[in-house]
Parts: sequence; structure tokens; C-alpha cells
Amino acid sequence: MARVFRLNGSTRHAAMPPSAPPAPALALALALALAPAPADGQISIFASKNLDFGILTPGAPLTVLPDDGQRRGELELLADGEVTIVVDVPAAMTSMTGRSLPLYFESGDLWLRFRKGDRTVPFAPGLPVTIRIPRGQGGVFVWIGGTADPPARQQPGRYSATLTVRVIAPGT
Amino acid sequence: MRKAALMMVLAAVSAAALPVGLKAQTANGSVSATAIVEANLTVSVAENLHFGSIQPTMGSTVSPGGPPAGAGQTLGALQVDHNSDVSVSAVVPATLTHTGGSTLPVTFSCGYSASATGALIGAAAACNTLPDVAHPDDGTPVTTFLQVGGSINGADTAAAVPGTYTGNVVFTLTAQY
Repeated sequence: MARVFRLNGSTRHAAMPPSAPPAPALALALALALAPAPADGQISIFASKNLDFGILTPGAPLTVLPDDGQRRGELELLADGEVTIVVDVPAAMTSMTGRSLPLYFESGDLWLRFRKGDRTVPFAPGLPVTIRIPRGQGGVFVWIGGTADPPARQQPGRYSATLTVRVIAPGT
Repeated sequence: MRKAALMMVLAAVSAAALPVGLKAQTANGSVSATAIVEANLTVSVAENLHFGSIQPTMGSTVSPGGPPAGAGQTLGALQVDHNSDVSVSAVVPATLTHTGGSTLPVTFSCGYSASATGALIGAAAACNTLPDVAHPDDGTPVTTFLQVGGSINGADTAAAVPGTYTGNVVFTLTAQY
């Protein structure tokens, strides 16, 4: 006889002492063990690189492509199974003094890149994209490009913005 | 007692038979987008400061804020083209130096203006204690002149070796943002 319980999404088995008396708690555990086990839904995501536009000249827009390994933003998503990803992008970067520098993102600026193989899935900012990551693939990279467009009279300074990537692994 | 235990087991099994709703898992990550917009800052010499010809025991003064009155005098000026505030520091010599090595004490004064010899924006100050060159903070290109004047006392020229005396005031300008 085995007692089964869930711990952080993984299934563990423990030997049941043969002399243990039956109890309602045990019955509940057995019943739960008979239910279909959900796909492992453990997901984690972490940033590995910021989207770096470098030094800009006022009046000269600069585009970073998602395949630009030096400048693109990059996050690594570890998961398997079906996941839905949404990238929320701001309309501008801001300076310490509150000045804005416009940012633009187009549908080709966001890529999902599978860790194994050459599969790439472009998607648009603000819109959910759902993919299935085969078990054992490890996950995907989220590659982020975009365009910074400082006007001719852009105030000099350092500008930054935060791009948020939301990942949802749906239940069954 | 045994019946109660059986009911508890049945209740537990019934509960387990209901559809199991698994909670969706979510995770959020973020990256920064960063950029530096470079400042435009160019500096050129519009005019050197000339005290003119000085007779022994006579002094010479060139003041910022307007065209100099004396013959042969010119007001020094740097043209500063910028699109941000600019800090200014200066290394100011205490003397001018003759080609033969003799020296002549001198003092300098500076100020900002919209033109090379126009009225000052604010007050004149020692060249190494100037405030920042102000900018309206809207990114527009602006030209500011840093006027450089000075003074030589008559008492210091009484025994001065005749000839040409020169010196350099070295300014360092840094865009602020």
C-alpha cells in the first residue's frame, strides 16, 4: 500500500507502515490518488538580459531586433505543457526627471524561441500567445526587440522602462 | 462506531469523486529597457582676452558684460552650444608669463551671456566658481557665451620687463543630465 501526496506540483510516494489502521484521512488520500494526475505545471521565469538601446541621438530612432543577441531583452521561461504568455510593454521610457522617450513595439518584435530546435514563434505585445512546450524541452526564451524614437529635442539623460512578461499555465 | 467510520470514508470518497479543479499557475518576469540620450556640447573660442598695451605703472581691466573700452582690448569669450545644463570648472593662472620667464600678476572674472560681448545673464564671478550654464531642460539647442575678463594692477607693471605676457585659463565643461 502506498500513500500519495502532492508537494509543490510533484508526486511523491511513501511507504505505508503495514500496521497502520484505516482512517478517513487515508481513504481521502487514496481517492485523490485515483484522480487523473495533472500535468506538471511548475513554471518559472527569470530575466537574463535587458533591452539595451545604448546611446541615442535626438531625432534618430533606433530599432533593436529580437535576434540581436547583444541588445535584445531576454527572459528564460522554464516550463512544460501548455502555457500562455503575455508581454506588457510601456509606451515610453522615462528619465529620473520624469521626461519621456517614446517606445514602439510591433508584432515582429517579440519572439518565443524554443530551447531545443530552431522553432520560433513571433507574437505581438499585449496579446496572449499560447504554446505547448514538450516535456523535456526545458522551456523557451522570450526575446524582446523594439524601437526607441527620441524626437529631435529629446532631453539628454538616462531613460528606462519595465517590460513585464506574464506566464499562465492553465489548470485542467 | 464502525458505522460512523464507514460514513466518514464514504463521504471522503464522494468528495474525491467530484471533478478536481487544478489552479492555474502564474509567473511574472520583467526586464528593463534602457537608453542614454547623449547630450550635445561643443565649445569653441570666440575671442581671446587681450589687455592691450600697458604703460608701466598703468593697469588694465577688461570686464565681462560689454565691449571693452580700451584700445587693443578684447573680451575673451567661449561659445558653448549645448542642449542641457553644463557645469564649468576652470584652472586659473595667477600670473601671465613673459617669454623670458618674468611674470605679471593677473586676476580673472567670468560671466555668461547670450552674445560674445553682450550683457551678462546673472552676475560676474571668479572663473573657477561659476554656476552651471542653465538650460530650459526641453532639449532645445542653445548657445551660451562664457565671457572672460580680467585685471592687471598698475602697481605690478611698474617694474615689469617689457614684452608680451601670456597665460592660459583652462576650462572644463561637462553636460549635466
